[in-house]
Amino acid sequence: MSSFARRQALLGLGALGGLALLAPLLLANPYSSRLAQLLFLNVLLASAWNLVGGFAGQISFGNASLFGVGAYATSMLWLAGFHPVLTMPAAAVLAALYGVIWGWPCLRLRGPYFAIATIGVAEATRIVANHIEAAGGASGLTLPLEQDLGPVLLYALGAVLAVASVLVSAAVRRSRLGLGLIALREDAQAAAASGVNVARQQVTVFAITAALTGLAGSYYAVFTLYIVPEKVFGFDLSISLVLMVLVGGIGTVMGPVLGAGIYLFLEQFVLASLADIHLAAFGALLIFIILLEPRGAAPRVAQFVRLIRRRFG
Amino acid sequence: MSGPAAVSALVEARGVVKRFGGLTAVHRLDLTLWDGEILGLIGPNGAGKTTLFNLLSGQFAPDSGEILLEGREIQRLPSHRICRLGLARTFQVPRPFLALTVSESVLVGAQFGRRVAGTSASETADGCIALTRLEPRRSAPVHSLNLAERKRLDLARALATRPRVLLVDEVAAGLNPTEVRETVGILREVHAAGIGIIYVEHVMEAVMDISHRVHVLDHGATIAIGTPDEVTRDPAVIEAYLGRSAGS
Ligand SMILES: Nc1ncnc2c1ncn2[C@@H]1O[C@H](COP(=O)(O)OP(=O)(O)O)[C@@H](O)[C@H]1O
Ligand SMILES: [Mg+2]
Repeated sequence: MSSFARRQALLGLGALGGLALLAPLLLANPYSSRLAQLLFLNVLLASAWNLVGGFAGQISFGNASLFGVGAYATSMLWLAGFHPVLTMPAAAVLAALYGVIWGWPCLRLRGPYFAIATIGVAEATRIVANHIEAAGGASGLTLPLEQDLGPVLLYALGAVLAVASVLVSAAVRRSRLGLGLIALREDAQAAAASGVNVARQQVTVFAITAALTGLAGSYYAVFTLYIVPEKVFGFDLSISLVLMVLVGGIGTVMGPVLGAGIYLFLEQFVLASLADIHLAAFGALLIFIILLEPRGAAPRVAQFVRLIRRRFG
Repeated sequence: MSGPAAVSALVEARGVVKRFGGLTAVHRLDLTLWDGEILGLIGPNGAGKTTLFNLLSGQFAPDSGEILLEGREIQRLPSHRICRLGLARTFQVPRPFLALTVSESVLVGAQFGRRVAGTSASETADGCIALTRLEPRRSAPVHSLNLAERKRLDLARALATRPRVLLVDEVAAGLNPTEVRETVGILREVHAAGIGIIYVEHVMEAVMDISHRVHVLDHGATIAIGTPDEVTRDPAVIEAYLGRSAGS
Protein backbone atom coordinates (compact mmCIF):
# COMPACT_ATOMS: atom_id res chain seq x y z
CA MET A 1 0.00 0.00 0.00
CA SER A 2 1.40 3.41 -0.88
CA SER A 3 1.76 6.02 1.83
CA PHE A 4 -1.03 8.03 0.20
CA ALA A 5 -3.41 5.07 0.26
CA ARG A 6 -2.54 4.34 3.88
CA ARG A 7 -3.09 7.95 4.87
CA GLN A 8 -6.41 8.07 3.04
CA ALA A 9 -7.54 4.83 4.64
CA LEU A 10 -6.71 6.26 8.06
CA LEU A 11 -8.47 9.53 7.32
CA GLY A 12 -11.51 7.60 6.07
CA LEU A 13 -11.62 5.44 9.16
CA GLY A 14 -11.14 8.53 11.32
CA ALA A 15 -14.06 10.28 9.62
CA LEU A 16 -16.27 7.23 10.07
CA GLY A 17 -15.20 6.99 13.71
CA GLY A 18 -16.08 10.65 14.23
CA LEU A 19 -19.46 10.13 12.59
CA ALA A 20 -20.05 7.09 14.79
CA LEU A 21 -19.36 9.20 17.87
CA LEU A 22 -21.79 11.84 16.62
CA ALA A 23 -24.44 9.24 15.89
CA PRO A 24 -26.22 9.37 19.28
CA LEU A 25 -26.59 13.13 18.88
CA LEU A 26 -27.79 13.00 15.28
CA LEU A 27 -30.08 10.04 15.82
CA ALA A 28 -31.80 11.76 18.77
CA ASN A 29 -35.04 12.33 16.88
CA PRO A 30 -36.52 11.70 13.43
CA TYR A 31 -35.79 15.24 12.28
CA SER A 32 -32.10 15.14 13.16
CA SER A 33 -31.85 11.68 11.59
CA ARG A 34 -33.29 13.09 8.40
CA LEU A 35 -30.85 16.00 8.48
CA ALA A 36 -27.94 13.59 8.73
CA GLN A 37 -29.29 11.57 5.80
CA LEU A 38 -29.66 14.71 3.72
CA LEU A 39 -26.16 15.85 4.62
CA PHE A 40 -24.67 12.50 3.53
CA LEU A 41 -26.72 12.65 0.37
CA ASN A 42 -25.52 16.17 -0.45
CA VAL A 43 -21.87 15.31 0.20
CA LEU A 44 -22.12 12.31 -2.09
CA LEU A 45 -23.86 14.29 -4.83
CA ALA A 46 -21.60 17.32 -4.63
CA SER A 47 -18.38 15.28 -4.58
CA ALA A 48 -19.60 13.30 -7.56
CA TRP A 49 -20.54 16.44 -9.49
CA ASN A 50 -17.16 18.03 -8.73
CA LEU A 51 -15.23 15.18 -10.36
CA VAL A 52 -16.40 16.23 -13.79
CA GLY A 53 -17.44 19.82 -12.99
CA GLY A 54 -14.41 20.78 -10.91
CA PHE A 55 -11.54 18.65 -12.16
CA ALA A 56 -12.53 18.46 -15.83
CA GLY A 57 -14.25 21.86 -15.84
CA GLN A 58 -17.38 20.47 -17.51
CA ILE A 59 -20.37 22.05 -15.78
CA SER A 60 -23.31 19.64 -15.78
CA PHE A 61 -26.86 20.81 -15.16
CA GLY A 62 -28.09 17.30 -15.87
CA ASN A 63 -26.97 15.13 -12.98
CA ALA A 64 -30.60 14.59 -11.94
CA SER A 65 -30.90 12.24 -14.90
CA LEU A 66 -28.30 9.99 -13.25
CA PHE A 67 -29.78 10.41 -9.79
CA GLY A 68 -33.20 9.40 -11.10
CA VAL A 69 -31.85 6.28 -12.80
CA GLY A 70 -30.29 5.20 -9.50
CA ALA A 71 -33.46 5.97 -7.56
CA TYR A 72 -35.66 4.05 -9.99
CA ALA A 73 -33.26 1.11 -10.29
CA THR A 74 -33.27 0.57 -6.56
CA SER A 75 -37.01 1.15 -6.20
CA MET A 76 -38.02 -1.24 -8.96
CA LEU A 77 -35.61 -3.95 -7.86
CA TRP A 78 -36.72 -3.54 -4.26
CA LEU A 79 -40.37 -3.86 -5.30
CA ALA A 80 -39.36 -6.96 -7.27
CA GLY A 81 -38.16 -8.51 -4.04
CA PHE A 82 -34.44 -7.74 -3.76
CA HIS A 83 -33.00 -6.38 -0.53
CA PRO A 84 -32.56 -2.60 -0.97
CA VAL A 85 -28.87 -2.58 -0.04
CA LEU A 86 -28.21 -5.28 -2.61
CA THR A 87 -29.81 -3.13 -5.31
CA MET A 88 -27.23 -0.37 -4.80
CA PRO A 89 -24.50 -1.83 -7.03
CA ALA A 90 -27.07 -2.26 -9.79
CA ALA A 91 -28.15 1.37 -9.36
CA ALA A 92 -24.52 2.50 -9.67
CA VAL A 93 -23.89 0.41 -12.77
CA LEU A 94 -27.08 1.46 -14.53
CA ALA A 95 -26.47 5.14 -13.80
CA ALA A 96 -22.87 4.82 -15.02
CA LEU A 97 -24.13 3.16 -18.18
CA TYR A 98 -26.69 5.88 -18.78
CA GLY A 99 -24.03 8.50 -18.03
CA VAL A 100 -21.64 7.03 -20.58
CA ILE A 101 -24.41 6.76 -23.19
CA TRP A 102 -25.20 10.47 -23.09
CA GLY A 103 -21.88 11.74 -21.74
CA TRP A 104 -19.89 10.26 -24.59
CA PRO A 105 -21.48 12.50 -27.25
CA CYS A 106 -22.13 15.52 -24.98
CA LEU A 107 -18.59 15.68 -23.58
CA ARG A 108 -17.30 16.42 -27.07
CA LEU A 109 -18.78 19.83 -26.42
CA ARG A 110 -17.04 22.11 -23.99
CA GLY A 111 -18.03 24.96 -21.70
CA PRO A 112 -21.50 26.46 -22.13
CA TYR A 113 -22.32 24.10 -25.02
CA PHE A 114 -21.84 21.09 -22.78
CA ALA A 115 -23.85 22.74 -20.00
CA ILE A 116 -26.79 23.39 -22.32
CA ALA A 117 -26.68 19.87 -23.73
CA THR A 118 -26.90 18.43 -20.21
CA ILE A 119 -30.06 20.43 -19.53
CA GLY A 120 -31.60 19.02 -22.71
CA VAL A 121 -30.75 15.44 -21.84
CA ALA A 122 -31.97 15.73 -18.26
CA GLU A 123 -35.24 17.40 -19.19
CA ALA A 124 -35.89 14.80 -21.90
CA THR A 125 -35.20 12.07 -19.36
CA ARG A 126 -37.63 13.61 -16.89
CA ILE A 127 -40.40 13.88 -19.48
CA VAL A 128 -39.91 10.30 -20.64
CA ALA A 129 -39.87 9.04 -17.04
CA ASN A 130 -43.22 10.71 -16.46
CA HIS A 131 -44.70 8.52 -19.18
CA ILE A 132 -43.28 5.11 -18.29
CA GLU A 133 -46.34 3.46 -16.77
CA ALA A 134 -44.39 0.35 -15.76
CA ALA A 135 -42.41 2.65 -13.43
CA GLY A 136 -45.45 4.32 -12.00
CA GLY A 137 -45.60 7.18 -14.50
CA ALA A 138 -46.00 10.67 -13.09
CA SER A 139 -47.28 9.42 -9.75
CA GLY A 140 -44.03 7.57 -9.07
CA LEU A 141 -43.39 4.61 -6.81
CA THR A 142 -44.10 3.98 -3.15
CA LEU A 143 -41.67 1.63 -1.49
CA PRO A 144 -42.46 -1.02 1.13
CA LEU A 145 -42.71 1.07 4.30
CA GLU A 146 -42.67 -2.01 6.47
CA GLN A 147 -39.19 -2.86 5.15
CA ASP A 148 -37.69 0.52 6.20
CA LEU A 149 -34.06 -0.03 7.13
CA GLY A 150 -34.39 2.08 10.27
CA PRO A 151 -32.45 5.19 11.30
CA VAL A 152 -29.29 3.47 12.51
CA LEU A 153 -28.66 1.46 9.38
CA LEU A 154 -29.56 4.43 7.17
CA TYR A 155 -27.13 6.60 9.10
CA ALA A 156 -24.34 4.06 8.74
CA LEU A 157 -25.06 3.56 5.05
CA GLY A 158 -25.08 7.29 4.39
CA ALA A 159 -21.88 7.85 6.34
CA VAL A 160 -20.06 5.14 4.40
CA LEU A 161 -21.27 6.48 1.05
CA ALA A 162 -20.36 10.09 1.88
CA VAL A 163 -16.90 9.24 3.22
CA ALA A 164 -16.26 6.93 0.27
CA SER A 165 -17.17 9.67 -2.20
CA VAL A 166 -14.65 12.03 -0.61
CA LEU A 167 -11.94 9.36 -0.70
CA VAL A 168 -12.72 8.65 -4.36
CA SER A 169 -12.45 12.35 -5.04
CA ALA A 170 -9.04 12.58 -3.31
CA ALA A 171 -7.80 9.50 -5.16
CA VAL A 172 -8.91 10.88 -8.54
CA ARG A 173 -7.28 14.21 -7.81
CA ARG A 174 -3.94 12.49 -7.20
CA SER A 175 -4.14 9.99 -10.03
CA ARG A 176 -2.98 10.09 -13.64
CA LEU A 177 -6.65 10.55 -14.55
CA GLY A 178 -6.91 13.61 -12.30
CA LEU A 179 -3.76 15.17 -13.73
CA GLY A 180 -5.06 14.66 -17.26
CA LEU A 181 -8.41 16.21 -16.32
CA ILE A 182 -6.87 19.34 -14.86
CA ALA A 183 -4.61 19.64 -17.90
CA LEU A 184 -7.54 19.39 -20.31
CA ARG A 185 -9.60 21.78 -18.21
CA GLU A 186 -6.81 24.35 -18.44
CA ASP A 187 -6.13 23.89 -22.17
CA ALA A 188 -7.69 20.99 -24.06
CA GLN A 189 -5.55 21.41 -27.20
CA ALA A 190 -2.30 21.67 -25.30
CA ALA A 191 -3.33 18.62 -23.27
CA ALA A 192 -4.05 16.65 -26.44
CA ALA A 193 -0.69 17.72 -27.86
CA SER A 194 0.88 16.28 -24.68
CA GLY A 195 -0.75 12.91 -25.31
CA VAL A 196 -3.95 13.29 -23.27
CA ASN A 197 -6.90 11.52 -24.87
CA VAL A 198 -9.35 14.28 -23.98
CA ALA A 199 -12.53 12.40 -24.89
CA ARG A 200 -11.52 9.21 -23.09
CA GLN A 201 -10.45 10.99 -19.88
CA GLN A 202 -13.70 12.92 -19.69
CA VAL A 203 -15.91 9.90 -20.31
CA THR A 204 -13.97 7.90 -17.73
CA VAL A 205 -14.46 10.47 -15.01
CA PHE A 206 -18.07 10.99 -16.02
CA ALA A 207 -18.73 7.28 -15.54
CA ILE A 208 -17.43 7.64 -11.96
CA THR A 209 -19.56 10.75 -11.42
CA ALA A 210 -22.58 8.92 -12.79
CA ALA A 211 -22.04 5.81 -10.65
CA LEU A 212 -21.77 7.89 -7.47
CA THR A 213 -24.78 10.00 -8.44
CA GLY A 214 -26.74 6.80 -9.10
CA LEU A 215 -25.76 5.57 -5.64
CA ALA A 216 -27.06 8.84 -4.25
CA GLY A 217 -30.38 8.30 -6.01
CA SER A 218 -30.51 4.80 -4.64
CA TYR A 219 -29.81 6.00 -1.09
CA TYR A 220 -32.46 8.69 -1.47
CA ALA A 221 -35.08 6.11 -2.47
CA VAL A 222 -34.10 3.91 0.45
CA PHE A 223 -34.58 6.64 3.06
CA THR A 224 -37.55 8.55 1.58
CA LEU A 225 -39.45 5.42 0.51
CA TYR A 226 -41.25 7.39 -2.15
CA ILE A 227 -40.02 8.69 -5.51
CA VAL A 228 -41.61 10.72 -8.30
CA PRO A 229 -40.02 11.79 -11.59
CA GLU A 230 -40.58 15.48 -10.90
CA LYS A 231 -38.39 15.20 -7.84
CA VAL A 232 -35.67 12.66 -8.68
CA PHE A 233 -35.25 13.80 -12.30
CA GLY A 234 -35.97 17.42 -11.41
CA PHE A 235 -34.00 20.41 -12.62
CA ASP A 236 -33.97 21.82 -9.07
CA LEU A 237 -31.84 18.93 -7.95
CA SER A 238 -29.32 19.45 -10.77
CA ILE A 239 -29.03 23.15 -9.98
CA SER A 240 -28.62 22.58 -6.26
CA LEU A 241 -25.46 20.52 -6.91
CA VAL A 242 -23.89 23.27 -8.96
CA LEU A 243 -24.69 25.77 -6.20
CA MET A 244 -23.26 23.57 -3.45
CA VAL A 245 -19.97 23.10 -5.22
CA LEU A 246 -19.59 26.71 -6.27
CA VAL A 247 -20.29 27.91 -2.74
CA GLY A 248 -17.95 25.35 -1.18
CA GLY A 249 -15.07 25.61 -3.62
CA ILE A 250 -15.01 24.09 -7.10
CA GLY A 251 -12.16 21.78 -8.12
CA THR A 252 -11.08 21.00 -4.56
CA VAL A 253 -11.67 17.81 -2.60
CA MET A 254 -13.16 19.43 0.51
CA GLY A 255 -15.08 22.22 -1.24
CA PRO A 256 -18.07 20.01 -2.12
CA VAL A 257 -18.23 18.77 1.49
CA LEU A 258 -18.32 22.32 2.82
CA GLY A 259 -20.81 23.38 0.18
CA ALA A 260 -23.06 20.43 0.96
CA GLY A 261 -23.14 21.47 4.61
CA ILE A 262 -23.65 25.17 3.91
CA TYR A 263 -26.44 24.37 1.47
CA LEU A 264 -28.25 22.12 3.92
CA PHE A 265 -27.94 24.66 6.69
CA LEU A 266 -29.34 27.48 4.56
CA GLU A 267 -32.06 25.31 3.09
CA GLN A 268 -33.25 24.07 6.48
CA PHE A 269 -32.78 27.01 8.78
CA VAL A 270 -32.60 30.18 6.76
CA LEU A 271 -34.52 29.67 3.56
CA ALA A 272 -37.19 27.24 4.71
CA SER A 273 -39.56 30.11 5.34
CA LEU A 274 -39.06 31.27 1.76
CA ALA A 275 -40.39 27.90 0.59
CA ASP A 276 -40.81 27.91 -3.17
CA ILE A 277 -38.39 30.69 -3.93
CA HIS A 278 -35.55 29.19 -1.91
CA LEU A 279 -33.55 28.32 -5.04
CA ALA A 280 -33.84 31.87 -6.26
CA ALA A 281 -32.77 33.15 -2.86
CA PHE A 282 -29.89 30.73 -2.89
CA GLY A 283 -28.93 31.90 -6.36
CA ALA A 284 -28.82 35.47 -5.12
CA LEU A 285 -26.61 34.37 -2.26
CA LEU A 286 -24.38 32.56 -4.72
CA ILE A 287 -23.88 35.71 -6.77
CA PHE A 288 -22.98 37.52 -3.58
CA ILE A 289 -20.45 34.85 -2.61
CA ILE A 290 -18.93 34.69 -6.08
CA LEU A 291 -18.41 38.44 -6.07
CA LEU A 292 -16.71 38.32 -2.67
CA GLU A 293 -14.97 34.95 -2.84
CA PRO A 294 -14.96 33.48 -6.34
CA ARG A 295 -13.11 30.35 -5.29
CA GLY A 296 -15.73 29.41 -2.73
CA ALA A 297 -15.36 28.74 0.98
CA ALA A 298 -12.69 26.01 0.79
CA PRO A 299 -9.56 28.21 0.41
CA ARG A 300 -10.65 30.43 3.32
CA VAL A 301 -11.31 27.43 5.52
CA ALA A 302 -7.93 25.93 4.57
CA GLN A 303 -6.28 29.21 5.49
CA PHE A 304 -8.09 29.21 8.84
CA VAL A 305 -7.02 25.63 9.54
CA ARG A 306 -3.40 26.52 8.81
CA LEU A 307 -3.63 29.49 11.13
CA ILE A 308 -5.02 27.35 13.94
CA ARG A 309 -2.27 24.79 13.36
CA ARG A 310 0.45 27.40 13.52
CA ARG A 311 -0.92 28.82 16.71
CA PHE A 312 -1.56 25.55 18.53
CA GLY A 313 0.47 22.95 16.62
CA MET B 1 18.22 19.17 -52.10
CA SER B 2 17.33 15.79 -50.58
CA GLY B 3 19.45 14.12 -47.95
CA PRO B 4 21.70 11.13 -48.45
CA ALA B 5 19.74 8.05 -49.58
CA ALA B 6 20.79 5.99 -46.56
CA VAL B 7 19.14 8.41 -44.14
CA SER B 8 15.43 7.94 -43.58
CA ALA B 9 12.82 10.65 -43.29
CA LEU B 10 11.43 11.27 -39.83
CA VAL B 11 8.70 13.56 -41.11
CA GLU B 12 7.48 13.94 -44.63
CA ALA B 13 4.75 16.27 -45.86
CA ARG B 14 3.53 15.60 -49.42
CA GLY B 15 1.37 18.08 -51.27
CA VAL B 16 -0.21 19.38 -48.07
CA VAL B 17 -2.95 21.98 -48.48
CA LYS B 18 -4.78 23.90 -45.77
CA ARG B 19 -7.39 26.57 -46.46
CA PHE B 20 -9.14 28.88 -44.03
CA GLY B 21 -12.22 30.01 -45.93
CA GLY B 22 -10.85 31.82 -48.99
CA LEU B 23 -7.29 31.97 -47.66
CA THR B 24 -4.87 29.20 -48.54
CA ALA B 25 -2.48 29.15 -45.58
CA VAL B 26 -0.48 26.14 -46.80
CA HIS B 27 -0.38 25.43 -50.51
CA ARG B 28 0.72 22.03 -51.88
CA LEU B 29 3.69 21.91 -49.59
CA ASP B 30 6.39 19.23 -49.65
CA LEU B 31 8.72 19.16 -46.68
CA THR B 32 11.12 16.59 -45.25
CA LEU B 33 12.86 16.28 -41.92
CA TRP B 34 15.69 13.75 -42.14
CA ASP B 35 16.74 11.57 -39.25
CA GLY B 36 19.34 13.34 -37.12
CA GLU B 37 18.57 16.73 -38.56
CA ILE B 38 17.67 20.18 -37.30
CA LEU B 39 15.55 21.77 -40.01
CA GLY B 40 15.07 25.52 -39.77
CA LEU B 41 11.68 26.72 -41.01
CA ILE B 42 11.54 30.42 -41.75
CA GLY B 43 9.40 32.86 -43.66
CA PRO B 44 7.69 36.19 -43.18
CA ASN B 45 4.76 36.58 -40.79
CA GLY B 46 1.71 34.77 -42.11
CA ALA B 47 3.80 32.46 -44.31
CA GLY B 48 2.05 29.42 -42.83
CA LYS B 49 4.70 28.08 -40.44
CA THR B 50 2.47 27.74 -37.41
CA THR B 51 -0.32 26.34 -39.55
CA LEU B 52 2.07 23.68 -40.81
CA PHE B 53 2.89 22.78 -37.19
CA ASN B 54 -0.83 22.56 -36.43
CA LEU B 55 -1.20 20.16 -39.37
CA LEU B 56 1.81 18.02 -38.45
CA SER B 57 0.68 17.75 -34.83
CA GLY B 58 -2.91 16.91 -35.70
CA GLN B 59 -4.59 20.05 -34.45
CA PHE B 60 -6.08 20.46 -37.93
CA ALA B 61 -6.45 17.88 -40.68
CA PRO B 62 -5.10 18.99 -44.07
CA ASP B 63 -7.61 19.59 -46.88
CA SER B 64 -5.42 17.36 -49.05
CA GLY B 65 -1.99 15.77 -49.05
CA GLU B 66 -0.26 13.28 -46.80
CA ILE B 67 1.86 13.58 -43.68
CA LEU B 68 4.16 10.72 -42.73
CA LEU B 69 5.88 10.18 -39.40
CA GLU B 70 8.64 7.59 -39.76
CA GLY B 71 6.87 6.32 -42.86
CA ARG B 72 3.44 6.07 -41.31
CA GLU B 73 0.50 8.20 -42.45
CA ILE B 74 -0.75 10.42 -39.64
CA GLN B 75 -2.78 13.13 -41.34
CA ARG B 76 -6.10 11.72 -40.09
CA LEU B 77 -4.98 10.91 -36.55
CA PRO B 78 -5.97 12.99 -33.51
CA SER B 79 -3.31 15.00 -31.65
CA HIS B 80 -2.87 12.63 -28.73
CA ARG B 81 -2.22 9.67 -31.05
CA ILE B 82 0.37 11.62 -32.99
CA CYS B 83 2.03 12.62 -29.74
CA ARG B 84 2.15 9.00 -28.63
CA LEU B 85 3.68 8.02 -31.97
CA GLY B 86 6.57 10.36 -31.18
CA LEU B 87 5.85 13.86 -32.47
CA ALA B 88 5.71 16.66 -29.90
CA ARG B 89 5.49 20.43 -30.23
CA THR B 90 5.78 23.73 -28.43
CA PHE B 91 3.47 26.67 -29.03
CA GLN B 92 4.39 30.09 -30.42
CA VAL B 93 2.54 31.62 -27.48
CA PRO B 94 3.19 29.20 -24.60
CA ARG B 95 0.09 27.32 -23.44
CA PRO B 96 0.72 26.41 -19.81
CA PHE B 97 -1.67 24.54 -17.52
CA LEU B 98 -2.07 27.46 -15.16
CA ALA B 99 -3.54 25.53 -12.23
CA LEU B 100 -0.59 23.12 -12.04
CA THR B 101 2.95 23.41 -10.76
CA VAL B 102 5.97 23.13 -13.04
CA SER B 103 6.65 19.52 -12.12
CA GLU B 104 2.99 18.52 -12.45
CA SER B 105 2.82 20.11 -15.91
CA VAL B 106 5.85 18.21 -17.11
CA LEU B 107 4.44 15.04 -15.57
CA VAL B 108 1.39 15.41 -17.85
CA GLY B 109 3.67 14.90 -20.85
CA ALA B 110 5.56 12.08 -19.15
CA GLN B 111 2.43 10.20 -18.09
CA PHE B 112 0.43 10.58 -21.27
CA GLY B 113 3.11 10.70 -23.96
CA ARG B 114 4.94 7.96 -25.82
CA ARG B 115 5.57 4.90 -23.70
CA VAL B 116 9.18 3.80 -23.50
CA ALA B 117 10.16 0.74 -21.51
CA GLY B 118 12.65 1.18 -18.69
CA THR B 119 12.14 4.71 -17.38
CA SER B 120 9.37 5.87 -15.08
CA ALA B 121 7.27 8.94 -15.82
CA SER B 122 8.69 10.82 -12.85
CA GLU B 123 12.29 10.09 -13.89
CA THR B 124 11.53 11.34 -17.38
CA ALA B 125 9.89 14.47 -16.00
CA ASP B 126 12.86 15.16 -13.71
CA GLY B 127 15.27 14.79 -16.63
CA CYS B 128 13.28 17.25 -18.75
CA ILE B 129 13.03 19.77 -15.91
CA ALA B 130 16.80 19.59 -15.45
CA LEU B 131 17.48 19.90 -19.19
CA THR B 132 15.35 23.03 -19.48
CA ARG B 133 16.96 24.60 -16.37
CA LEU B 134 13.64 24.72 -14.51
CA GLU B 135 14.88 22.92 -11.41
CA PRO B 136 14.76 26.02 -9.18
CA ARG B 137 11.11 26.50 -10.15
CA ARG B 138 9.93 22.89 -10.05
CA SER B 139 7.42 23.43 -7.22
CA ALA B 140 6.33 26.86 -8.43
CA PRO B 141 2.78 27.32 -9.68
CA VAL B 142 2.90 27.82 -13.42
CA HIS B 143 1.05 31.14 -13.27
CA SER B 144 4.05 32.63 -11.45
CA LEU B 145 6.46 31.91 -14.35
CA ASN B 146 7.78 34.66 -16.63
CA LEU B 147 7.78 34.40 -20.42
CA ALA B 148 11.23 32.82 -20.74
CA GLU B 149 10.33 30.23 -18.13
CA ARG B 150 6.98 29.50 -19.75
CA LYS B 151 8.73 28.89 -23.06
CA ARG B 152 11.12 26.47 -21.41
CA LEU B 153 8.18 24.80 -19.67
CA ASP B 154 6.45 24.23 -23.02
CA LEU B 155 9.70 22.66 -24.17
CA ALA B 156 10.01 20.50 -21.06
CA ARG B 157 6.42 19.26 -21.34
CA ALA B 158 6.92 18.38 -25.01
CA LEU B 159 10.22 16.60 -24.30
CA ALA B 160 8.63 14.64 -21.46
CA THR B 161 6.44 12.86 -24.03
CA ARG B 162 9.74 11.29 -25.27
CA PRO B 163 9.38 12.39 -28.86
CA ARG B 164 11.34 11.25 -31.90
CA VAL B 165 10.51 14.60 -33.50
CA LEU B 166 10.16 17.98 -31.81
CA LEU B 167 8.46 20.96 -33.44
CA VAL B 168 9.67 24.22 -31.90
CA ASP B 169 7.70 27.39 -32.66
CA GLU B 170 9.56 30.68 -32.01
CA VAL B 171 11.05 29.65 -28.71
CA ALA B 172 13.56 32.53 -28.82
CA ALA B 173 11.09 35.32 -29.64
CA GLY B 174 10.85 37.93 -26.91
CA LEU B 175 13.89 36.63 -25.03
CA ASN B 176 17.04 38.63 -24.24
CA PRO B 177 20.36 37.59 -25.84
CA THR B 178 21.47 35.56 -22.82
CA GLU B 179 18.18 33.68 -22.76
CA VAL B 180 18.40 33.09 -26.52
CA ARG B 181 21.87 31.55 -26.13
CA GLU B 182 20.64 29.38 -23.29
CA THR B 183 17.67 28.19 -25.37
CA VAL B 184 19.87 27.37 -28.35
CA GLY B 185 22.08 25.37 -25.99
CA ILE B 186 19.05 23.39 -24.82
CA LEU B 187 18.03 22.63 -28.41
CA ARG B 188 21.56 21.39 -29.13
CA GLU B 189 21.26 18.99 -26.20
CA VAL B 190 17.89 17.81 -27.44
CA HIS B 191 19.41 17.14 -30.86
CA ALA B 192 22.36 15.35 -29.29
CA ALA B 193 19.86 13.04 -27.59
CA GLY B 194 18.80 11.85 -31.05
CA ILE B 195 15.63 13.89 -31.50
CA GLY B 196 14.91 15.45 -34.90
CA ILE B 197 13.86 19.09 -34.74
CA ILE B 198 11.88 21.39 -36.98
CA TYR B 199 12.66 24.86 -35.73
CA VAL B 200 10.50 27.84 -36.64
CA GLU B 201 12.21 31.08 -35.68
CA HIS B 202 12.39 34.75 -36.54
CA VAL B 203 15.54 35.29 -34.48
CA MET B 204 17.98 34.60 -37.32
CA GLU B 205 21.11 34.26 -35.15
CA ALA B 206 19.44 31.37 -33.36
CA VAL B 207 17.96 29.48 -36.31
CA MET B 208 20.90 29.98 -38.68
CA ASP B 209 23.30 28.96 -35.93
CA ILE B 210 21.89 25.50 -35.28
CA SER B 211 19.99 24.42 -38.41
CA HIS B 212 21.58 21.91 -40.78
CA ARG B 213 19.18 22.93 -43.51
CA VAL B 214 16.68 25.75 -43.78
CA HIS B 215 13.30 25.52 -45.48
CA VAL B 216 11.82 28.90 -46.47
CA LEU B 217 8.08 29.47 -46.84
CA ASP B 218 6.17 32.38 -48.27
CA HIS B 219 2.40 32.48 -48.76
CA GLY B 220 2.18 28.84 -47.73
CA ALA B 221 4.59 27.58 -50.41
CA THR B 222 8.29 26.74 -50.55
CA ILE B 223 10.53 29.45 -51.95
CA ALA B 224 13.92 28.00 -51.02
CA ILE B 225 15.59 25.02 -49.33
CA GLY B 226 19.29 24.84 -48.53
CA THR B 227 22.05 25.33 -46.02
CA PRO B 228 21.81 28.50 -43.89
CA ASP B 229 24.43 30.14 -46.14
CA GLU B 230 22.62 29.20 -49.33
CA VAL B 231 19.23 30.51 -48.28
CA THR B 232 20.53 33.79 -46.90
CA ARG B 233 22.08 34.49 -50.31
CA ASP B 234 18.99 33.33 -52.23
CA PRO B 235 17.40 36.26 -54.15
CA ALA B 236 13.86 34.88 -53.66
CA VAL B 237 14.40 34.79 -49.91
CA ILE B 238 15.83 38.30 -49.80
CA GLU B 239 12.92 39.48 -51.90
CA ALA B 240 10.37 37.81 -49.61
CA TYR B 241 11.83 39.42 -46.51
CA LEU B 242 12.96 42.80 -47.88
CA GLY B 243 10.11 43.14 -50.37
CA ARG B 244 7.62 42.68 -47.57
CA SER B 245 9.17 45.13 -45.12
CA ALA B 246 10.04 47.72 -47.82
CA GLY B 247 6.67 47.31 -49.53
CA SER B 248 4.15 47.74 -46.73
N1 LIG C 1 -7.12 29.14 -37.19
C1 LIG C 1 -7.04 30.00 -38.22
N2 LIG C 1 -8.16 30.47 -38.80
C2 LIG C 1 -8.09 31.33 -39.84
N3 LIG C 1 -6.95 31.76 -40.39
C3 LIG C 1 -5.79 31.33 -39.86
C4 LIG C 1 -5.77 30.43 -38.74
N4 LIG C 1 -4.49 30.15 -38.43
C5 LIG C 1 -3.74 30.85 -39.29
N5 LIG C 1 -4.51 31.57 -40.16
C6 LIG C 1 -4.03 32.40 -41.27
O1 LIG C 1 -3.15 31.61 -42.02
C7 LIG C 1 -2.03 32.37 -42.44
C8 LIG C 1 -0.76 31.70 -41.95
O2 LIG C 1 -0.68 31.94 -40.55
P1 LIG C 1 0.45 31.26 -39.65
O3 LIG C 1 0.52 29.83 -39.98
O4 LIG C 1 0.14 31.62 -38.26
O5 LIG C 1 1.74 32.02 -40.14
P2 LIG C 1 3.20 32.10 -39.50
O6 LIG C 1 3.27 31.19 -38.33
O7 LIG C 1 4.10 31.71 -40.61
O8 LIG C 1 3.40 33.54 -39.12
C9 LIG C 1 -2.23 33.77 -41.90
O9 LIG C 1 -2.79 34.54 -42.92
C10 LIG C 1 -3.20 33.58 -40.79
O10 LIG C 1 -4.00 34.71 -40.60
MG1 LIG D 1 3.64 31.56 -36.35
